Amino acid sequence: MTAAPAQPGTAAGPGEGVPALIARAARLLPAQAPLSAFVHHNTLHAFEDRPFEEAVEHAARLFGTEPYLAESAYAALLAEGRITPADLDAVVADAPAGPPAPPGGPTWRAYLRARLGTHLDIPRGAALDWLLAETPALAALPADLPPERARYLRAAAARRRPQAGADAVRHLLADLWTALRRAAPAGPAAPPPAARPRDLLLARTGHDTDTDTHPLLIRFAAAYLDQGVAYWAMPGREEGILAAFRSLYGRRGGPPEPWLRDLPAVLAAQAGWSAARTVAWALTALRVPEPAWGAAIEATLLSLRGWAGMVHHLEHAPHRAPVAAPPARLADHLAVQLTLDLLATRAAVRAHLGPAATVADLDLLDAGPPPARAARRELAYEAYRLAQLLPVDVDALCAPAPAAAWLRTVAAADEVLRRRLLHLAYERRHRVGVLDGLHAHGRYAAPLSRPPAFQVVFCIDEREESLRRHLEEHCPSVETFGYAGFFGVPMSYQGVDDVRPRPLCPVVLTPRHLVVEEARAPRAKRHRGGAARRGYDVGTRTLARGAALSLGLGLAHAVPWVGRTLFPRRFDRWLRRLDHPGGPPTRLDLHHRPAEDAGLRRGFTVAEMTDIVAAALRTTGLGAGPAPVVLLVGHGSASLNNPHEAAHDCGATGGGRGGPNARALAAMANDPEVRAALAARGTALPAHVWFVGAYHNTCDDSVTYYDEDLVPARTRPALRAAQAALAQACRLAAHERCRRFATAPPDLPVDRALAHVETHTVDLGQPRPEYGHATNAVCVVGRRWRTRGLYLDRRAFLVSYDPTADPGAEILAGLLAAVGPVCAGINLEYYFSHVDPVGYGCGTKLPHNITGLLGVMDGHASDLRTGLPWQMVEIHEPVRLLLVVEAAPAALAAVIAANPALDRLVRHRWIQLAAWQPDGDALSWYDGGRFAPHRPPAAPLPLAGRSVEVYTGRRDHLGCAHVLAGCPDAPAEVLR
Amino acid sequence: MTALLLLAAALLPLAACGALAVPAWCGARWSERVSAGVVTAAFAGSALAATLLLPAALRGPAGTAATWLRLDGLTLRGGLVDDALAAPFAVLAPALLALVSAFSRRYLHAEPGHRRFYLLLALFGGGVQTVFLAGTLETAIAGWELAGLASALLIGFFHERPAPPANGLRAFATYRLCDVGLLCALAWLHHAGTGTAFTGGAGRVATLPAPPGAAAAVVGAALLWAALGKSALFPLGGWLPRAMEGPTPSSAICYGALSVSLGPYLLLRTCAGWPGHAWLAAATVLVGLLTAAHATLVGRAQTDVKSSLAYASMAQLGLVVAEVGLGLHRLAVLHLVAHALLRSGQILRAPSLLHDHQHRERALGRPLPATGDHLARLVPPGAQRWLYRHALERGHLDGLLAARVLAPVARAVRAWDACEDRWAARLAGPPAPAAPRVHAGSGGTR
Repeated sequence: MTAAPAQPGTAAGPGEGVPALIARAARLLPAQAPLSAFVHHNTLHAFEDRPFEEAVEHAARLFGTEPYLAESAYAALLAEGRITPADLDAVVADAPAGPPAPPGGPTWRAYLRARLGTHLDIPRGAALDWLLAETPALAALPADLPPERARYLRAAAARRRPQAGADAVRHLLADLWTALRRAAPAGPAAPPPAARPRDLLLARTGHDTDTDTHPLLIRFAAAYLDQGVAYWAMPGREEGILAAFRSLYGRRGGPPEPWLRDLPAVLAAQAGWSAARTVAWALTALRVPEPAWGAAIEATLLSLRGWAGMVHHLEHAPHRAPVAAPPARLADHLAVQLTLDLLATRAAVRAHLGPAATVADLDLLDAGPPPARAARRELAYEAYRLAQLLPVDVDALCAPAPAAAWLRTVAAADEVLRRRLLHLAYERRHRVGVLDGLHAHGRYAAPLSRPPAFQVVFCIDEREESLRRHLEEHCPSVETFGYAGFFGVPMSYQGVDDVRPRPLCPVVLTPRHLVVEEARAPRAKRHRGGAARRGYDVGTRTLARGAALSLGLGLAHAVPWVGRTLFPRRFDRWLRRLDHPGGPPTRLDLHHRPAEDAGLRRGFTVAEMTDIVAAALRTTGLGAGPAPVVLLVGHGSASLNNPHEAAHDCGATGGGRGGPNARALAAMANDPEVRAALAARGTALPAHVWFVGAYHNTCDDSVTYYDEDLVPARTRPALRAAQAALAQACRLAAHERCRRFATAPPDLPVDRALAHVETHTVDLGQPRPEYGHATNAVCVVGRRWRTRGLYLDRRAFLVSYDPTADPGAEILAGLLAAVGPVCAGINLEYYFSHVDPVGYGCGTKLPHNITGLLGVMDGHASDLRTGLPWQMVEIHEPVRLLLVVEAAPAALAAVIAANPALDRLVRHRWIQLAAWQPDGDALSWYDGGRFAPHRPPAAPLPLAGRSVEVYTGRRDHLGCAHVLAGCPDAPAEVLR
Repeated sequence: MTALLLLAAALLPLAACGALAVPAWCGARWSERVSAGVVTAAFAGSALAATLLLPAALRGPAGTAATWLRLDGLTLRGGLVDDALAAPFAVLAPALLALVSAFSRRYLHAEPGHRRFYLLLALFGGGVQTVFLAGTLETAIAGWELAGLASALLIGFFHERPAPPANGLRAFATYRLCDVGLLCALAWLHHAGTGTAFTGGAGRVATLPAPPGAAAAVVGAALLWAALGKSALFPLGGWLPRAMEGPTPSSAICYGALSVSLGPYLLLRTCAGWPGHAWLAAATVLVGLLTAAHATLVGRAQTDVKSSLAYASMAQLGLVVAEVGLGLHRLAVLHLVAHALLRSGQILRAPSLLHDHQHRERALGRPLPATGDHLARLVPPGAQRWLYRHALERGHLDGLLAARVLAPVARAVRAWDACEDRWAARLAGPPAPAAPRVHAGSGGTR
């Protein structure tokens, strides 16, 4: 029991290989940024080099999470008809038929098919013991057995023992159970060796040393990384985690907990050691053999993965910190954690084995009772129940060899396999529904026959699908486009009120241009009010100022209480009127200047702007025939009392709000120099065309327009008309959104929908301000007229792409390279947060507690919770994204193969891919390396005049439908 | 009429609790709308009744009383009273509860424990209102226990994770330990024979009559002990940040406003005004100031918003208790009421922290100025780190409690247990056959 650490024994230099091991373990940590810079990403990004099913099942074992929904959930979907028997048939069709097992029984494929349709709740452990001992499960047929099967079993029992009479069934069941129990193989081999001494200690004594170390580690990590919640920041942070820890906890008079008694001495002896050396020392002292260091480091970091992940994130992306990142290093964090682990383990060993015991004596601890034969009994019971339910010769099963064969069959279709197949069936139902819808809509789809009155470019976001659809229904002369929401303008942006610039472009790009919004006139003094409020926030938490403020303002504190609770919307409007007197007009400072600002160039040159505008015109197909008014609509979301507010913003701007990007593109496209340069390139824009940038708040469905004062007088009437149409579309889209909100009655009038969604935005008591990307499932890359008028239930990302203008598929390659990973990231994050809301998501919002401005904890001291809260994903359908591309299969396959990132996603089935013939309705689905034609549907889709007829009174997921108001140019013969 | 209104104010929340509990017991499942509606209406009704009582209460104590139980020599009396002290709380508490209950209808929608939350909220509100309107110490104890039980269960609301029930248990254990003080006071008062009804006090506030001589000291100390746990005062306040495990609305109402106010309220109602016991007042002031000093230091190092607010709340309560000890009763009442409104509103809005931070930065036009610079200037560097660790570790109170108080108690109990085993074995006959193997759990300290 020496307090001072001994030198690690390795001669090759202590901890030489440690950094590489840490780097390998770090890949498994959650990659979530601080909440203010939230970007959707594939939760299992580290596993993308494996096929989807293998990856989720491997990760489930590693993290202790769920790979798919629970079997009971699929059973419920099967009962509801969201999975049909045809889907089950299709997913088992690929399974080998196999010989009947046992002889006379079903083939493997038939067994699998029958098993998928049979949901059995097999009790585990003590519950099974109770069931067998206390219920007639082994003596009588279950009450819910299908009648024909019960008849068969009675007959079989009577044949087996004609003389037994009424007891025949009991004898048959007893024989069956005995045969199966005897034939059941031994349970799985011993569990894998413990990676950390803590696991061994926990298994043998029930004492979890993590409950000792984690609270201290959480406190320290949170204080170290804190971005300004605490009044008093940790002193000495600039020296790094390990040095700060040593200087704080190395001094005398520290925590009085017995296990921490040696901490000052240990830390003093460590003085000057690098993190790697400390890690090596601690692992040696913990008696972890060197070959197992990698596993021990991985398991140690994963035990508090949220905090470790945040340290790792700030180490590699310090610019994503909301204020300023301290010099965090994961190796330091690990060194602290392992030092604490060592002390806690030593103390626990001493407590259990006496004061002279050391970590090496851990082996002396009793291993406890041998693993029960529970698994064996569970398998036997499952086989026993299935023998009653499924078409198998029960009489024959009472013999040892057939019983063993039956048990092998039952064991082969284990729970994970069943859930995988059920999941595939579930996805198949969804895929077939969408492909059928696209195919069927070919009859109604037609290009606009007249030039459009105005055009609107939206983000590809699936939340804009309903807004586009309603706009097209309300205003048949409009043409809409979908373009990634950063509008091709990769910039770092600083608004007139912003304190620091932030990147507004996909996370894979690094912006090189800074764009600043500048006021046209001196701004009113608002800083004094800001200072007063800051003083109030800080003061109310201190002693003397807190007393003065609470006494001084007294009952005035009741005003926000009552206002926010009872009249959230009116109160917020009133406050905003007080708060925002409205500033002078502003402009974006777009033109290039020689000045450099923190490595960023100010503005864009004319040539760069011309490239950006030309790319936008070409990619969307807008350049073919621009209307007099073109609205560019970026989006974002604002809501109160929502730590995950930024997760509702635009993914294409890297989790920012896309309004400034739309404004920038509009300003570039209106710029006379850019117009001239475009004309020089032969892609002139007509002089009467004017672009207007706008911002759509997807939470309250409001639209703000930029730079309206610059609009030429001749364009103004057309702009007014376009704005009015968009306002009405917002109203209708808000109404469609309300169908998902339990707060909205099913018969909510359209004119009250906007007020309803506005209330959601500002209500402190509303944990579901909007449903964000929930239910996203499809991405269609193609010409809008082919999907116009098709009801897609806000579930489809819509990307404008004209294959006829892209014979070489260069545009397509660029589009898919951006769109594929972004949409897959969103889709997969929702998938994982839904299938395991606690393991991958961050659980219910209600106990969330913001810590350090970085993330949320559950309650007062927990791991940092990553992923999405349940309230965001509860209505989601966890299916992999179906990417439908309007291209010939061969061309599409070539584009995918040329892009390694996309190829990995598609080949390993993280997304589903379908090709849609540009000239004809044929669709084909990418399956196992080739495109298989999709068989056209037999039944026609529902028809409706307007979208409202499709969704009224419905709260659940809706299939495709033709909306006739959206197809103004549909051929006359189909309308009859 | 007064009696009726008093009964309505105190019993409506409890009736709502019963209205939710009885059908649930029988297996009936009320919808979210009904359970939320019943509880909100009951609180609103209680607030209305208390408001109607205001004119009478402000003129002087208005009350009703009855005997609960009479055994020989022991009479337990129940009673309600509304006066200038009770009136502000009796109006504020159900009004805030009605608001939080309306708020939670949206906030807890589709949460599996929705009904349970409302049931516990009604129970908590009933308990709190009973304490505020209690006319006798027995009544106050009854309300006190109900509020304590409900608030501990609300902390453990998310019982599928291990931390919330553990922290709920921690709060409950602290409550129980300190409730011994109330029971001691009650027993001693019966012994002294001055009665437990709040009939003393001059003018418009009814208080507990002081028992003669040294008895007052004992009773006063016992009541102060009771307040210590309930209001998270030094050194027993470690449960307060841990109480933030529950849903945000119940955290706001219990630990920002009502539950923690019960301690000072009890002192005001009972022993705060007893003349001639300067040391009792001094002890109250000392506890209050120690709490305030401890909480304000610790609170400054807290990095999560709810713990930071919990310590801010504790600091203000320390000041209130000191005001009570100094005899500044009106100031204490005003401070309590204003602080309850301020803090519960802040906790309710805690999930907006990120939003508000960005908003403040924009309003200020620059990054928010760093706080705590003067600490860095005033405290010498060596002491600074010591002090910071002291704050981050919450004054080491939890560790000290576990290592210096609970561990010795556990050791003593275990020693007794071993001793008893030895004696039992000696009396029972021959010793056990084999020496026990080293095995799990033997000698564990937890």
